[in-house]
Amino acid sequence: MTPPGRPRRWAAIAALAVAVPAAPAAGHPHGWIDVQSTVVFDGAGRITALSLDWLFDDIYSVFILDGLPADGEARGAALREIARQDLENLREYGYFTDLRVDGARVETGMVDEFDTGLRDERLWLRFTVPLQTPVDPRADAVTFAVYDPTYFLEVLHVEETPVILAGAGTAGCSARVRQPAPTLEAIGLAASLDRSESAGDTLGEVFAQWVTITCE
Amino acid sequence: MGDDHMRIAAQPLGRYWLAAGTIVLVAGLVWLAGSLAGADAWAALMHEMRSIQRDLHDRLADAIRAVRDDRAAVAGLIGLSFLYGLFHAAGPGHGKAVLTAYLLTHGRRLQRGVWLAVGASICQGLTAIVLVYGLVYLAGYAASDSQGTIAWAERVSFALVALLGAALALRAGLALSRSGRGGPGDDHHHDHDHGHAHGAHAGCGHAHVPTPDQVDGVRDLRTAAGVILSIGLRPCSGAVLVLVFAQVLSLPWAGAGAVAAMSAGTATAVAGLAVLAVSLRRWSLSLGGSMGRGLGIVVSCAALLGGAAICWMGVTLFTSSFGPVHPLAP
Repeated sequence: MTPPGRPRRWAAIAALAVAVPAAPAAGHPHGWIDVQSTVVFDGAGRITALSLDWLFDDIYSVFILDGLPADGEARGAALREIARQDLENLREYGYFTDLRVDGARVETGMVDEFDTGLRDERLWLRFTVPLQTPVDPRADAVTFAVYDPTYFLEVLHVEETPVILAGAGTAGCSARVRQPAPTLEAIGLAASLDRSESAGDTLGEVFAQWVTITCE
Repeated sequence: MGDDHMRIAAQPLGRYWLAAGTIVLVAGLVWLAGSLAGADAWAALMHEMRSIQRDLHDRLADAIRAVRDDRAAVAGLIGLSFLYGLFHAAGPGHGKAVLTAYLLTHGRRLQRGVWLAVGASICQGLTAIVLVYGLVYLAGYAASDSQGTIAWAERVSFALVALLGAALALRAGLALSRSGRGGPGDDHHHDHDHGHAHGAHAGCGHAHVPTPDQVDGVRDLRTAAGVILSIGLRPCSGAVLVLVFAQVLSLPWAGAGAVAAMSAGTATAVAGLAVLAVSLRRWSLSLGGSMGRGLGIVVSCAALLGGAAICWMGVTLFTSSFGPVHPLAP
């Protein structure tokens, strides 16, 4: 056996130098959802619901679509059944929505309106999360975020029109999306999580985009 | 071997620390610049970093679709898969942790460390191909249904990690108790050579141990198989994604090619890690060269700790694989 020459050592160090900065490009998240949020107002200017339009990434979509019937109608029925099951599973996670009034999390109701389908070979799911009691953004500070608490999936708002304000009482209101500012520790933790691993239900919040609703 | 060890020990290793120091310094400067520029700039930078991961994932899907439309696009898919393997090897994965822990505490030969890294990477790729295509073509599964079986392959791999760690710890413990009674253990003897460079020569008092290299040879082969299987039986998740995606688009050969390229990428990165681990171990042994007999005990203790760490890793991975299922798990 010959000892390692310097060129070989330097090759190893060079490989590591290339690989180490790329480390964040490996762990959680392992899938992505593009979201467009619609904040639903009633005539009195109160927020009554959040309507979310989720678009899953290509590879996640293929996993869901594989093995489904090819026929349009049967496929549609199978997709609806998957969506129903997903929403049932998501219920105990508050449908990945976190709406806060003056910083305190608000209880959300049960989803019963939803629709699903395919857009450019990608799976979409649209559903409405009602609030148990309407909130008034003119009286209280209202913020919300949509995120997977485990950060297995990353939920990010679309670049173009990320938030829509809908309904009669939206006059003078606007929405602003704030990008997350995760700590180095959180980034390191996320990067160290393999597909089947979890760091519990608190990591996702750190990487969540927060939407602030302000009304004049 | 003795000659080899002497030259390793004699080489200036300051360069390693120079390189390591440079990496730490650059990381520190980036961090400092980030915090000075304020939270917004930091958030923007982090956002950018994480979007690269998303980008790579999406591009892989695009590359497979491109092959569906034009077979010549397979070169692009292969290149991208190699990069994916290279980058992902820098992230999580029990394989690197097991291999690094093993080589730091047991790795004697540089080439062997590299071959273990390459073997484990190839094994991971083959497991993915055999599992996904085996289930699809032989058992008639839908490609995405292979997930459940893959979860079991992972559990077997984690159990093997635990067994491997326990075996290594047990072996080191036996060597320790032997050296405690005054008789040199096999590991003790072999590693003792490091300190003395030409330690096989008379005067070191190890001449009464018969052919330690032969004993090592058989054991090493068994351990190597254990290391490779415990890492390689768990298919890399990226490889499974690509195989299922390619299978759904009726491009099985493109999927297999992409996985081969991914394994090559992973092998490259992990081999680099193996070289660093073995070199670091050798360097620290060369520092302890004058310790004489005590060094053997230190080496056996390190081996015991390494084995215990690997065993613990396997146990936690195994138990956490039965953890809660993600609400949107495909």
